[in-house]
Amino acid sequence: MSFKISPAVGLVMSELLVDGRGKTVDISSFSPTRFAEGAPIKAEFEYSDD
Amino acid sequence: MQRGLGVKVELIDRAQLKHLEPDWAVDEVDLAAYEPDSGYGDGAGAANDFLARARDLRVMYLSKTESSLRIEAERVCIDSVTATYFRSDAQDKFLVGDFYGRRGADPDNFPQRAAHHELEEIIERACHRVPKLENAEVMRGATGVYDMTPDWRPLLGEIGALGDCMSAPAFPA
Repeated sequence: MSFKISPAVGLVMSELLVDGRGKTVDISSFSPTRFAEGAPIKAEFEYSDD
Repeated sequence: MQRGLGVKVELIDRAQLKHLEPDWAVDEVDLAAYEPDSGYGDGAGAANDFLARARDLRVMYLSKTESSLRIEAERVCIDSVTATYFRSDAQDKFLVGDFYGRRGADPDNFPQRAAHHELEEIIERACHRVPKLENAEVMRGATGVYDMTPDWRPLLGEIGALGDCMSAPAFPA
């Protein structure tokens, strides 16, 4: 493992806690409730091992 | 989007990739994404080194203070053709891993060692990209459970059922 997106996640999570939303980037689509709501993230170009 | 956030990333063609990595076999590669500033860094090691050095220097912690760092990192290759990733350890060893998507695994009972035939198969794929690895010896193999969400993306935000509890797990840290 390395650093990867950890610094960015730390930044947007601090924004979410302090300001109520991710300001650097919109992180609303990463909501933990998205699976229960039937709205998983679908990217234009997905990873695939098919 | 990445460029808009200040990430240096560019698409390079086969000739440019060959120039960067002359030892790689790249005949079937049409395009590669290249990030000149990216690479492998040991997160735990870096944090521990910062802490140890700070203690040596009797450092006082000051919040909201910026400093500058000089970063040197080993290049990492994520190869979607051979489904392998690899990097040097900056000395004389080479780490090769695979990222074959979803496999069922019991987190309380999964293989603790990489099976010989699995290592052979990964090495074969890595050699496809880096032919020089044919002369390398296997030092050891490792296994692990890599927990991912169904859409492979992190969970960032409030866990509704727990009120004010925020979560930021399930991302490849």
